[in-house]
Amino acid sequence: MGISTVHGNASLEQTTHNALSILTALERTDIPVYPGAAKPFCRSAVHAPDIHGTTGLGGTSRLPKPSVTPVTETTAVVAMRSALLAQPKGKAWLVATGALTNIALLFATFPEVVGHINGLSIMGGAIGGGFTDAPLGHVKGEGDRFGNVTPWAEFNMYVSHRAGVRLEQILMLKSAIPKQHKASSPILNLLSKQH
Amino acid sequence: MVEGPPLHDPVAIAVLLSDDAWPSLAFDIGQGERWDVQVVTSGEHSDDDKKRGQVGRTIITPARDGGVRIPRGMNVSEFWDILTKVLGRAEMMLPA
Repeated sequence: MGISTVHGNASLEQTTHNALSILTALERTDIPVYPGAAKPFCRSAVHAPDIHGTTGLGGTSRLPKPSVTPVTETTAVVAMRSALLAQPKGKAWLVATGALTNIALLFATFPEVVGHINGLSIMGGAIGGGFTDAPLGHVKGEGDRFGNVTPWAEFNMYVSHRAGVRLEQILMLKSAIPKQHKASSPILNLLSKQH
Repeated sequence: MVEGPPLHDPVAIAVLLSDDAWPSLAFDIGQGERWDVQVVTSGEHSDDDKKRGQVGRTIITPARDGGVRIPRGMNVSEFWDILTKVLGRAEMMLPA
């Protein structure tokens, strides 16, 4: 239905550009891209250039220049509301793979969306305590940690924790995926061979 | 990194499709367990652990009603099979 972009691994300008570039590569520029929040509710934006490069998708020179521009006539949360409410009740899913600011703004401004969607899937959070058997990160001299950006916190929750709190208050989250799944060596080799 | 890079975002998509399209992913969501999630907001964005504390930490407690599902695991090799096939299909759609 659509994509809203948000601050996170890189600036909103970069993440918007990246979304448009990927859609151009996949020949799916029919999917509209709406730039959303440039920063969290109450903090300055925090990015991750060490992991993802300054562009947010570092490490490749193969992504094309976008052939389309983002939609700016409608703000992201208004567009999200319209698209989701246009679907039959209980059908559409909303997925957040980045910072939660857009989602929290959407639900706070338009609470009627909450009961209308099938569900919300969030990539975020880190639990620890043996919640899963996925291997945990280990920083030399510090022991095991279950966060990835700090010893305690996963990146999306760290950069948009107030948005996370707002969502928690709304209590309509249907599914959340903690960051504890890693690729294994055979798959890394397979991807390497294809380039 | 010794084992491959962690890959998280596609998992948040795959979980939506596992009920109907890809039940072989076998997400482990426990026996109907649901959780309340609390996000720690005290602390600042900083490189100093003393200033940031546990900000952004997600603390879960069992939910009596409402709450969220948090998958604990899935069939990882099946996930990679599907991801590889999907990427293959995407590549076929590109101009030669």
